[in-house]
Amino acid sequence: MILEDYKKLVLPIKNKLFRFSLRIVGNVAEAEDVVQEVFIKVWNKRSELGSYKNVEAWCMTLTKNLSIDKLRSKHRRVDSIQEGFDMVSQNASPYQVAVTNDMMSRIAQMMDMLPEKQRMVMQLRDIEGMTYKEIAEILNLTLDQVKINLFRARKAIRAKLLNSESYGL
Amino acid sequence: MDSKAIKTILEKYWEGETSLEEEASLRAYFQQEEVPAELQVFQPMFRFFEQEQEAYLNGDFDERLSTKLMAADIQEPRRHSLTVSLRRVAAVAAVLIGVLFFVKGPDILSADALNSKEKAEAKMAYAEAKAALLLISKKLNKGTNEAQAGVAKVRKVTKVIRE
Repeated sequence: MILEDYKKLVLPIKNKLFRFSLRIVGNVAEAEDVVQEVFIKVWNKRSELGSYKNVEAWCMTLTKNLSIDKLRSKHRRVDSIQEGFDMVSQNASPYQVAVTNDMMSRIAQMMDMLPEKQRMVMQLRDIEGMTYKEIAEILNLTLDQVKINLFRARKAIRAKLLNSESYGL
Repeated sequence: MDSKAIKTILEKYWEGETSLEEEASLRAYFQQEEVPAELQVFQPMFRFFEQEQEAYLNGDFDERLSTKLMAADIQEPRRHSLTVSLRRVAAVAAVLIGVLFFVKGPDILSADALNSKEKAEAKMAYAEAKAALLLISKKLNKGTNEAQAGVAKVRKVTKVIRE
């Protein structure tokens, strides 16, 4: 396989890998490093590409493993997940921008506080729109484990939203 | 979609029973400004999900990746040939030692059996073996240096291309 073909094959999924890693490591620069490492690893094993029927799932699993390794070696999360995320609609008023930013960062924090598995499952389902089967393959879980983690993640976020509303926070 | 239908889907959503299409319709619904008061509390969550799909890598990522991939490509085969030659050296050494034992027999282990002539021969053989090993090690080092020089050259070329 030549470099150009390889890039055509893997580059379309780079942002998905980036978002997934970012959800785990919580730092833009490190998430970028992870994606680069994944692509180099797969390139060095390109002779095996034929035997992996789903390149995307393979890359996602590598992304998960490398991200978790990175996080473990760091022992703590240094930066907030929010850096690099301030996309608000162009025609919103400054007040709306502030409110929207505030609410968005609150949701990001809520998701950030979920246990790792729940966070990963929620990222892949509610943000990336993947099927339960795809998620199970990537995370090496059973379908039931995927569903229960998603159920718990949604339940936790819902409770926090209702809670913050009733206390007017 | 009316808010009653949305509420039904939302209930399914909390139970983890929605399809991907239904989840997409929830995200689409909460993008609008006017949402009934009782649903407003969930709006930021679905907007957040929608917004997070738009997080992208920096524009120069592809370029930096290409450089790394090319470097990885050049390092790989050389590193391989180096390990192969090391293995060959080890195999040859093992055979030589084996042959030595076979020819000389157990005598080689007893120091008494060696007369002065043999001692001198052994010393000479030792010196020759040492010289040969030094030569091999020098060549191996040279190989590594060449590989490094090659990588540096490629980096230089990519830099020039980029500029």
